[in-house]
Amino acid sequence: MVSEEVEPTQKKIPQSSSSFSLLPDEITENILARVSRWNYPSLSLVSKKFCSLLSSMEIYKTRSEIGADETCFYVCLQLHNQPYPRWFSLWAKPNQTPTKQSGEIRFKQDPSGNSVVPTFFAYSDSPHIRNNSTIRVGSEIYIIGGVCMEPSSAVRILDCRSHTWRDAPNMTVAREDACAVVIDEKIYVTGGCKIDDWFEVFDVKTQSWTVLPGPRGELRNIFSHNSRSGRPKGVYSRAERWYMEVREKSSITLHSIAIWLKIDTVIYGCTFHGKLMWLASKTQGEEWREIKGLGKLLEHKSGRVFEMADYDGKLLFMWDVCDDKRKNKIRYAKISLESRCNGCEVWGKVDCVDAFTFPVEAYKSFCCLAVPI
Amino acid sequence: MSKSEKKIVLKSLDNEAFEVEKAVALQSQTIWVMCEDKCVGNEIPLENVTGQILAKVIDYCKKHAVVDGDGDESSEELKNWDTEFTKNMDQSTLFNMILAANYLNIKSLLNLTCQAVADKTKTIDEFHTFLNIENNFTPEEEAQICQENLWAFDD
Repeated sequence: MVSEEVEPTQKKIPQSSSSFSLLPDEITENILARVSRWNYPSLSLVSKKFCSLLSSMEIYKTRSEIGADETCFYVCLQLHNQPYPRWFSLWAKPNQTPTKQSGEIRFKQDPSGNSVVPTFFAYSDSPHIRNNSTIRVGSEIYIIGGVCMEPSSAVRILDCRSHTWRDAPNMTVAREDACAVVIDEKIYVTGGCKIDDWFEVFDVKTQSWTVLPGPRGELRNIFSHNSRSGRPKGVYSRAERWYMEVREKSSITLHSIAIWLKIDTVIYGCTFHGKLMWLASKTQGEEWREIKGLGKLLEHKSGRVFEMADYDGKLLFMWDVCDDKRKNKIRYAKISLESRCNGCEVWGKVDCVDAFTFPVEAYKSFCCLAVPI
Repeated sequence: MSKSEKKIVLKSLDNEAFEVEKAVALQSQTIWVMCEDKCVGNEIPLENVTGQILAKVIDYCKKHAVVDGDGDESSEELKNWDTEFTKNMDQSTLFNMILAANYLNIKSLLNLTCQAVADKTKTIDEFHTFLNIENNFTPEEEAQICQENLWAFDD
């Protein structure tokens, strides 16, 4: 009667007809696509089938089709005395209870919590990056040209789903600290090369570069005159003009805009001194105005390096902090935005202020991109 | 006469018969195709679904047919109903609902039940136990995956 004792393993799963491993792959994928990306590494350990489903690219297509994609923030740090930058992804931890806040902070801590996760690829894969020449297209990050004193026509792409790098076709000229903007799957690039105002456009679908038509003299006019002066009509599409308007404003206005970001239909900017602005529409006088209601935050924050990202329609505003000598924290505020007075004013409400801590010695500068995955 | 044309009978695997409005049943693409083919009469045999599961599927279809029809219920209410509908389903019911939704080709029901499984299972242990999936990795393979994803495990 020994046979009764044959199966001592406690982990052994009772044979049953309702094991989910019997489901067709597409259904398992449908289920897994609805689970937070945060859980994918541990779920890869469930079974071989799970592992292969979770590491395929198909699951990301399904996630975006059923609207289950999540926004993940990627931060790239330029370090002192290091030849390559370091990349991290930032995740809100599910079901996080906020820890007690310390001392004098007058703002609420981030209730969703956060976690800084190093990305796994060779450091040397990533070129140096600058805010204005690094953009997101879909779930990919494009790094266009080189940085100051290191002009390059190379374009590198980081696929944030697989954390792999690849090259895009080179630009027609080498650029340093170029400006790029993406509109309708096209990347518009200007600046950073010897030929002033040399525009070119990259079609993401066909993966090819085209030099934008249009006499350069007229382009120069657009940059050097204010919006009331005559501008050539019909040469450029609306999308291109939007880009030029941003450039124009940022180079001419008194509040010089260091970085900008479009959330929904409004363009937001941050000055070199960390003041938050928004660009009023044409009917509103087409000018940069300060976002109201943020006095307390501006008093509270320090910093010289600033960054902005779209946090599901809110503004994620980030700045550097010097903690003693070790500079490994980035503070951030999540700001809800509201248009008031028939669109004459934009008011910001600070939802929370918190910090990311990075496992590095000290950083020089940083860049952040919001990527849906 | 017209009344009987509007109704059809669905017969489950265990020979349970359900008389339902055609509009309710036609949310299933599979039944829709069968009716179009006209090779079946008023009675449609569903060989992959038990009576217990079919009754639930019909509940779902009735609810959604009414709402799609006259829209007197808000989508918010419908959402709440959906949540309640799957909330207390046990593992084997959910499993069979998914198979039924897949076989009958009712996309919204398939999505709803898949979402319910995703909501009920978060951790690796829950996937093993709730979903009844056996871990078929060798310890070496498991260690390899852990190594690649160290960040996720140092909680």
